[in-house]
Amino acid sequence: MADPLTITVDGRRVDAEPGETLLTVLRRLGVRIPTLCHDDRLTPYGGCRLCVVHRKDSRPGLVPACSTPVQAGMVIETDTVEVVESRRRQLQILALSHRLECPVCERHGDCRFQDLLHEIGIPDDRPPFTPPPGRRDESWPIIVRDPEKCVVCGRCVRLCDEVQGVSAIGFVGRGLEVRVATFLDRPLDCEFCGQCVNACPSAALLARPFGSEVPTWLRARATTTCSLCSCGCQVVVESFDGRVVRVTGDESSSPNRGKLCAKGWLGWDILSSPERLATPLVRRGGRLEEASWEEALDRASRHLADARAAGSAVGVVGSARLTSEDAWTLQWLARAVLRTPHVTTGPTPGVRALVEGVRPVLGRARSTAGLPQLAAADLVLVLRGDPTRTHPLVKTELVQGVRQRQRPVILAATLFGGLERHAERVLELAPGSEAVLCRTLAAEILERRPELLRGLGSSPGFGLFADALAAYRGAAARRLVGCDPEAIDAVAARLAQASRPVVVLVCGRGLPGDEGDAARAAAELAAVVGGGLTVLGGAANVQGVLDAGLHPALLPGEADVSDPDARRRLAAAWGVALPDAGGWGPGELFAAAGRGEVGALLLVGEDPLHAWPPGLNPRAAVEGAGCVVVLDPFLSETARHADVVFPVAMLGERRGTLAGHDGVGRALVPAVPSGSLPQDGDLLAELGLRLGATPPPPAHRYAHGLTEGEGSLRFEPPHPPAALPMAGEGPMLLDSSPQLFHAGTVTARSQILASLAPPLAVGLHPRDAEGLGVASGEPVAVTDGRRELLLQVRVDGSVRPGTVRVLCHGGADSALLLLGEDGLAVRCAVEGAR
Amino acid sequence: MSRPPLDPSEMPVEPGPGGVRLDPEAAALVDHLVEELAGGRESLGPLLRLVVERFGHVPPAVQERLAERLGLAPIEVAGVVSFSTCFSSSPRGRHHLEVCLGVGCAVARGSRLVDAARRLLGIDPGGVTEDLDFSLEVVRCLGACESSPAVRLDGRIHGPLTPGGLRALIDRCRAEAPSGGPSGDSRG
Repeated sequence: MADPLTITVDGRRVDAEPGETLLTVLRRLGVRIPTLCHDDRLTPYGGCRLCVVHRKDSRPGLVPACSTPVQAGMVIETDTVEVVESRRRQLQILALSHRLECPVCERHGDCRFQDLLHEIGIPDDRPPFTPPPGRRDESWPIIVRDPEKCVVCGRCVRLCDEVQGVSAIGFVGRGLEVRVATFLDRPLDCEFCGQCVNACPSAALLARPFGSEVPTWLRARATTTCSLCSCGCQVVVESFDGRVVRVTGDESSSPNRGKLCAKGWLGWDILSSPERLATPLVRRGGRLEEASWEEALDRASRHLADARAAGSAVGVVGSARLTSEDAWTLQWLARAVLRTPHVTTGPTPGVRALVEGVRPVLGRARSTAGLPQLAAADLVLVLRGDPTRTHPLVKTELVQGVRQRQRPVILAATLFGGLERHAERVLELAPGSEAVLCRTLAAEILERRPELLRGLGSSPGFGLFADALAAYRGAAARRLVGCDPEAIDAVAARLAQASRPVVVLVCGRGLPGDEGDAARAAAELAAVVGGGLTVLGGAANVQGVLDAGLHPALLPGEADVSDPDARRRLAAAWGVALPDAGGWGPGELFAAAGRGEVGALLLVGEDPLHAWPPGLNPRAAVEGAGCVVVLDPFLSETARHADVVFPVAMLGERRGTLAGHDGVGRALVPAVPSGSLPQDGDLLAELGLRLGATPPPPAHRYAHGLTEGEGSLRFEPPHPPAALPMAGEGPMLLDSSPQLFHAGTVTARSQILASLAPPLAVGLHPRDAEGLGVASGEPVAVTDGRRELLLQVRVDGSVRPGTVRVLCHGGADSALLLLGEDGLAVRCAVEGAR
Repeated sequence: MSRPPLDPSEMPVEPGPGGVRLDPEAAALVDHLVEELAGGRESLGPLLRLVVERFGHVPPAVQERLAERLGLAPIEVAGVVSFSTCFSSSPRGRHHLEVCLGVGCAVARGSRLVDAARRLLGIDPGGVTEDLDFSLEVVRCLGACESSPAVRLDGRIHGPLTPGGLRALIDRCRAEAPSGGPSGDSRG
């Protein structure tokens, strides 16, 4: 770090670091500097000139503090007459094009521009300029424009560009005619992340769903953690009378610094969905009927007690969206009360990756890199998917790294979503070939940097691993990956040179291929290059539920279920013996249930009939189980087949801890009350009571956070490169990926998100479309030989020839239907629908 | 100096199902220019001037193509095109009339000249007559404040002008035989 330098501020000598701006230094001193166009998430702009301060040294004059780097010997005065007058004049010019109507404006009381007018004021005279009139524009989806309120600060445009990497809007025109617009004034087509609306310092950009007459100062505000993916973003929820009025971000929050995505910003109408259950349901005479809580609890506990007494298998499945506390209670209920080892999540993306892929290699089922490590990385390799669709916050971090700090990203996936525009290099992979790519890269890197062999040689199994990797150096492996072999070499060279690389593995419902093997290979690659590993799993608490032991192979605190010390400690804390190790995961459990071997199924927040791969035969399982008890906010497809259904509080109505992909525990604070609906954990504790047990306090304070330096490396030789296992039959390959706006289960209940989601369509390359004799808009059937999906054709030159592209909605009416067997790439055929 | 006639058949765009598309020849030309200048984003300005030299304006389809080739978003290219009076998204007429409304001319009631031009040509600022003879634009400060209110017609400044004087100017243009000299463009 270079030596600090000294400047003078208002007569005081002050230290500053070279490279800092005056604004940074002045803020550190506690000097109040008004800003409008400045945003800490963006590179300095210097557009509004409200932050001017007075230089009184060898180069005197007014300078914008936000974009002026400190120089040794600078003499600054922050409050001279010229500064004050300049700010007033400047604000006056900005206010020229602003239709001032505070008392009837939606942002009255919560408006940066209003604050500045109050703080700085403007002169009384009126400059002789007439700005062009503008009309309020409601033609865009979601976002309403009022150009006469725009103060041309540029925050919306710059956030869309530097942070989202989308550039859906920009400035056109000049002088008084400048306006924010889309290209050719086409309808807005973007990710609807809300950054522009939330950053607007006036009411020029508003969100239609948040239009409300409730004054800002009467609203309740709660900052809570979003529950809709594993990024852990903090959202600020404004509510009135128990209903959500508006959702924004808080720029000081961590990890997202005020950034949101469409789901977290707009998905709050789920909470007030008319389809939510209000009362428990109990099956009487073959039909589900409303019942009292007492009757439902009595019935459910009797069903479960009977199954326990009969000694038949009991299966407990919990959503990875449960809070850590609720997940802990569920696995306690399963192991200590129902005496079953079969406690698991559903086939949630990321769980197998962490437990079966990462844990065997790195010693712990967690990522080793989070956002700070991504920010500090000098190279990032993103595998398997485009986080634009699955983990929008991570996407913004990657884009900002590229755009603001020139930190390169290499993207290797089958289907992209926009990040490819910013990648230094893009590898188009054959579906499911990520593991082969990772091993090929590892083999190349070990070849280029033999000193790594020595460094890693002490890890168990490394020798055999390195030997087996030799098989990945040939053309056969490269052919399996499906992209240009030279590109693979180039990426290997880049990785070999990087000093702080991070490997990111994207998991999501709808990505083909075996995520367990991909994660294993990614972990091996990260270990070889000495870099970090980020596994982006699917649900909000994917790490937290694993830490809480909601997995047949894990006890709370990430202990192995067969570890005798851990078992002894837990048994002592609970006062019961633990069931034998060897519980079933979701696949085995449902296979057994289908065979009639399961006496009771307790499903908490999971909807297998709608959201699990059809190959797991959820219908047979639910019908074959002795009894089915469901906890769900909605009457899901699975709930319709249950014996008892309990409605529960959901998402932002809950309290507890969520630990997403970075393993950092974050507080879920109730943003709105859940009325009389219990939270999952409370209901489960009540069931436990009726089954004869009181939940003990969590015996193990499981650590949240990453595992820098913990865990132990262990290598196993990979099988030699072989043709990728595939399901289905047909001449085409299925390229599928999740889509951004809803994941097909809970988020599909949001009308707002559903209105943004693209219609279900199958993308075909023009040559393939021609060969099939179909055109855009025509219906076709995409079939894997067993199941078929009816979709609209969309001819698209960016689709790879020989593939069909389907965005997965996570529901059984989307590509999920074809991804029948979890973990396999799919062959399929397209037939003109009759 | 007036422009050569812009034959509609020389328009480099063709209507397509998704809006206007660039015809293959024009697309190839744009690609070639991008490759030749080889400057990435920084070459946008010079590229736009070359495009104007060839097409007379910067059609939106060309803006999209440039954006694609340079790794920019289309709105970024559109922003540059709309910022500078050198570039226009819409075709310009054989005679391009720019009416100045910079401070000096505004105070000297240049707005009367804008209204007069509207009436005389039957188009709004930013537009072009159907026969592609005239296009009209309002601009800021031609630097001819001593001759305010001023206009620039085919690159030449005229002022101080009254609405009558403007009419005379336009009539003179109309009386000229079409298709004059070389296709030089003195806009800088």
